[in-house]
Amino acid sequence: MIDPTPEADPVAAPDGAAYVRLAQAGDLDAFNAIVDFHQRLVFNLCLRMLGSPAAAEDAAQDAFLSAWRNIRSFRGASLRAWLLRIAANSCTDELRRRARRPVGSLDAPPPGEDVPIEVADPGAGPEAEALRREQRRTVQAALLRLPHDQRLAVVMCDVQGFAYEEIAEAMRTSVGTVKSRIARGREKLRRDLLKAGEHPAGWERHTP
Amino acid sequence: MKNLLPRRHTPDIEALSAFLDGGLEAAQARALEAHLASCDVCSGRLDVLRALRAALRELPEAETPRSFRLRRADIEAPAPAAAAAPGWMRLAPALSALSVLVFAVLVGVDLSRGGGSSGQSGLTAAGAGQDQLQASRSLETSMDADTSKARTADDDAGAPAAGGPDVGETATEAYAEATALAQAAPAGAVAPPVASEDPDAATLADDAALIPASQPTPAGEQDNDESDLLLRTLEIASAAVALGAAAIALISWTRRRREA
Repeated sequence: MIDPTPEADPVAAPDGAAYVRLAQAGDLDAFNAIVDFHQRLVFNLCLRMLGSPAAAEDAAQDAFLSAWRNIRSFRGASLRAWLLRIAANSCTDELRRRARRPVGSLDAPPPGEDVPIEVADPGAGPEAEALRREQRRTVQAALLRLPHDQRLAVVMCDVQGFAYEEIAEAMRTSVGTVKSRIARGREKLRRDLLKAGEHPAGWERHTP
Repeated sequence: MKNLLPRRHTPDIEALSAFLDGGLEAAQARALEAHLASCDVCSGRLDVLRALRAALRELPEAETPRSFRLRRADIEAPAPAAAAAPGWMRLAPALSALSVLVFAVLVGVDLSRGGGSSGQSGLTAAGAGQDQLQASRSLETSMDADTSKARTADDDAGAPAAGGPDVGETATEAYAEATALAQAAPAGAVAPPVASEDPDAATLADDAALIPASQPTPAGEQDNDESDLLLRTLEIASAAVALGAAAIALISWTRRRREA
């Protein structure tokens, strides 16, 4: 989980806007301070949007390069929302690039198949841990089957825990549209996971 | 959402989803809560949504595989092949402005030559030149307005699209004007001076008529005709280049806007 509180945003922080102004004036060090602060968030958005760490790495690097080139056009209230929008765009580009590559390329494992190695929960037995990992894999794979807009909305809301307003800013749309994308995305995930036989805790009791 | 609804009904997915996130207005939330207390279908669906969200939050936050800090080399590296075309296109506004300048100079030359030469063709050239000069001036002004508008809109790229249609309109106007100009130039050159409705051109023609002809030789006239033709061709060519470059500039600007 990412802490979505405003205190974590360097723009909202006392000297955050100063970094942006310096970066806008061409100060690479100031820009890199912004990168340090947001790279985890950006990389994780790309990871959940693309399902592959290698693809997410490329997309995140592209996103920061593009952010540097366009930092002067940043006028918005939230630098984080702006960066996430750029990251979402570079995910789209990355998907397009990967679609052009020949099938079976070593660089492009099947989506959802190469989620990074996770730290095992020390409290759980190996079997429970294996089960959890299997469940995460299924959930990630189902995410990748969502249409791009719904996936972005669901990832930002349910995986990263952002408020509707910030998602709307990042997606350059209204809160109403965000609400409906999240609802439709969740509904599709629900059907998809049911079909896949996935039953998270409290799941099976209530499915018709 | 109402308690009166039959027990078997299609749950309002959007309301349930927003309710889960605390995104409903107070009155709506209260109504839904009351309904949930008596409707197994909807409360069941809400539980599923809650479990789904929990499963999504289970997805671990990954460490970044490396730092994404930019190095000097990254930002100075040449643009990738895909970006090569827009990079080249960035010269278009300059090319367009240059062509307008060339056009203006040509018209200027045309005017001064036309004023000095004798006979009907010279006078007509003066009239046509005047028309063209005015047209080119207005073209230049509108192109200036176009680029400055584009710049303002570009600066504003962070804000939602606002200047787009305006700029498009200006460019279309500039295009229409310049097209009219391109059509008017040869027509004006052929028309006799009396046909000109431009009062300035008429005055110019009168003035020129007062100046005695400078004894043109047939050979000189032929030379004049040839260089007039050349001048006209160059004028039209530069106007065409200016238009083309302006169009490319507009396309690349739109593209950059979409990317940003």
